[in-house]
Amino acid sequence: MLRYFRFGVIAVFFAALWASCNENEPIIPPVGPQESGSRVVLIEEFTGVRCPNCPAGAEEIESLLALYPDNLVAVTIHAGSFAFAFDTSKYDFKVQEGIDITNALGGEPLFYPSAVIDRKTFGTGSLYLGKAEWAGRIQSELAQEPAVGLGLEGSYNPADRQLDITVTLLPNETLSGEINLTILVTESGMVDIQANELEDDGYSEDYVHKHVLRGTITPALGEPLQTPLSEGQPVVRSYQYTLPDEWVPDNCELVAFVHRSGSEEEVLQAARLYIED
Amino acid sequence: MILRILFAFVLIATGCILNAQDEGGGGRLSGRLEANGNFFQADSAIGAINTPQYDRQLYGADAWLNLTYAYRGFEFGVRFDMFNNSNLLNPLASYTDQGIGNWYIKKRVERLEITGGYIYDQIGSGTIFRSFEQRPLLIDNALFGIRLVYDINDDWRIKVLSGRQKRLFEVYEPIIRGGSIDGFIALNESGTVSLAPGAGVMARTFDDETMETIVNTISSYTPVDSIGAQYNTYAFSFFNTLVAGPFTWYIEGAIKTKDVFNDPFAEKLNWTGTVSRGKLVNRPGNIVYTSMSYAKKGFGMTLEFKRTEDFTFRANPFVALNRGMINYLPPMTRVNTYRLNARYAAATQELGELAVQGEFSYAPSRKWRFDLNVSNIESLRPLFPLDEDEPQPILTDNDLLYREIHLQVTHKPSRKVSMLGGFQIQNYNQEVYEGKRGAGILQTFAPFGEVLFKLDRKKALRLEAQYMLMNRDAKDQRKDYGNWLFALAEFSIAPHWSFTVSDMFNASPGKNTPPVDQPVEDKEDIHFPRFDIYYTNKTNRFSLSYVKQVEGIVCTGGICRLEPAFSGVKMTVNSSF
Repeated sequence: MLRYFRFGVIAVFFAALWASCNENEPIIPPVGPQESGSRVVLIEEFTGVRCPNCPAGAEEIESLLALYPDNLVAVTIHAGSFAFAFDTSKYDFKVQEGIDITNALGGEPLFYPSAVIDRKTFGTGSLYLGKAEWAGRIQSELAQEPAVGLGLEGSYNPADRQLDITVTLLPNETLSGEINLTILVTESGMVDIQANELEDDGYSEDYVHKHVLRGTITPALGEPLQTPLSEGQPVVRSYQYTLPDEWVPDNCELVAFVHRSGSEEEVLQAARLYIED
Repeated sequence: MILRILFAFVLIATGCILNAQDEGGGGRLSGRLEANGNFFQADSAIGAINTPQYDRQLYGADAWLNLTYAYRGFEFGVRFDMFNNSNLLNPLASYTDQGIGNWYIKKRVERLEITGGYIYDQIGSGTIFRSFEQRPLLIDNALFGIRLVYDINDDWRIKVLSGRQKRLFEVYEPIIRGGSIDGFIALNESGTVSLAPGAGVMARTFDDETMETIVNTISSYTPVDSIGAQYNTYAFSFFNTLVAGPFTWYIEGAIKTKDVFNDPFAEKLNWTGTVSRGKLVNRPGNIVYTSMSYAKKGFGMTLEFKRTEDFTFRANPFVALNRGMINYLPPMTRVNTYRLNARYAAATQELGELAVQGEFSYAPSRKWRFDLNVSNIESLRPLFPLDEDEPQPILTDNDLLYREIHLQVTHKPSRKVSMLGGFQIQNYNQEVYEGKRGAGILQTFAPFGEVLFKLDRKKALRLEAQYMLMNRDAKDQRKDYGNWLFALAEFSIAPHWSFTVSDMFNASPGKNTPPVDQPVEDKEDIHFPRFDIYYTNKTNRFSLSYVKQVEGIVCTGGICRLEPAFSGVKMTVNSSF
């Protein structure tokens, strides 16, 4: 009798384990290009011309830029073991500033394609996120109001290739701690060889590279701002920069972002400006 | 963290006090240390460059120190983990952290065993749940929670557990819970025919933040790719071992309810209108695994079959590689130990594979033994490129992933000499296992041999040699690193000393032999020498090695990852007390 009782208890226990399988499933909101808010998110993709999986990452970024045209800024950083140019490469996209940023963010990623979004770990223990995660993290960042407004203005003189840049910060709350401003230049439209898993022989000879980090105007890890930044008190910084001859101004973008510095690198707001606009 | 460290100190201190008090009372304190030190020397010729360790850190170390105290039915365990500039977490980067990596308390109360803390366990063969540790790959997915095991009677027991999965010194947020029942049924009085049936269920519940990220991700997809999601996913398994004299048959079947996971091969329509691969999907999964073995004097055989479909089960859909694994799918290939024979190993493909393996051994006398192992793994579904106008399978040879034929003959002509020889034929889909598009299937032929001379009661000399012949690609270049020759000599003086010297020689460089840009005919033949000294004194073991190691795949139990080349000095200390 006791034996049957025991097995009865066990049966009830297992029934309980997979009982209540019916749950209120989450509601997936309607999809579609999003309305512009004031938050602008920074995605830094880590890549290399020898990385066969990375063109898939670049495609994902283009899709996300199409979805969030005014609220997402992309920077592609060539650094790490896949970033060494081929003998037949026309460009060497690897720049010291990109290596410095990679080192500051924890060294080379474990896997590619890999990206850092607003330099936050999102509780994952690593800044580097796999492609499947980018969209969700960007959307959750977009749902937040920026802690600081960021205006980016500039003019370009083709005669001497000089850029005059003005950056205006308007804190929406008082910000203390170490806060830096980073300004960099990216270039798109460069056609060169790229390892590509989607090609039969594993390479694209005429791959179009986009959003490639070409150099920084501030130090690579940013220029320190005097803190605290008081709520509602604008901070204006001006810069001049001469565009190197080999960069095509029509294809260059200025990217600016305000971020924490020190033990964490969280990006508070980003902005983008086409140089020839 | 501070609380955990404090707890550990209290635990250790308590253990010491109890031990001191209990020298006549039965308490027992034991421990184990594993420590590795690496000194890095950059070597561009073999590609051992461009990591923080080679560039500037020059040194890295990992260590694990376990202490266990058992006293009057209680068992306390604590483990201190240390990583200093370690390349275990990410071979291309550096990881530094330390702390209490594991602790647990276990107590038996009559028929009930209670365990709390970090728990290693599995259900069946692990298809729905296995928490385990593999230090070479820095896998430690212990369940941080509670486990109760109740012995219903001498033959049956029931187990329940609940907790969260360990992630380095943190935990993943989703909750994992489940249980199992397993037992033993003797079908005849002598006990030569028996059954060991069992069943298990595991469930994973996403936390709100993980679900928010999933929902945000799905809502960024174009409408054609949109899917639903659910917080709870359940996995059920049923298993049984039948033993009938020399015959043993194990079978396990498992199903998983709909689960949101990342399918890297699924087509995704982008907002730009292009199509790429890789997106979240919401599908159920299943797996069947069976193993039959027969052993009689002088003859033994094992046949295995496994079919896997969408049976990835992880803490959340965004973790990749060997992170966040709730379950474990047993590998279906031979575990090779010789350096060249182990160079290409097949990682378990959790989204789809059809695998068979057979192992046969025959020993007609004490002097002769023949072993044959054959395995074949194919992709469950054909994979096609995105251009549907030209449907050309990405995989060739009927979607073959891996095939191996391994024949080994052992001969012991005298008590002082034993010899071993054989060959291995491998087909290894480098394109799939290593993501090297265009690499196709590597076909290797690798003969091997070994001779062991027992020089006297203490001294022995072992000589080992292997050769690997690699196939060529369409450009008539040898694939991957080309042909290899490996030779090793080991001289041991029991019970303390062992010395080995070996060289892995890239006899005919291939397409991927560094520098990869140079034509194959211009590449130099590279040597990868290694020298080891091992010293064992009772339960302490020390090793000192000078190593030049080629880039390759490192696998433990079917879980693999690419390891970069290594150049430098390695030291290890293993101790138990």
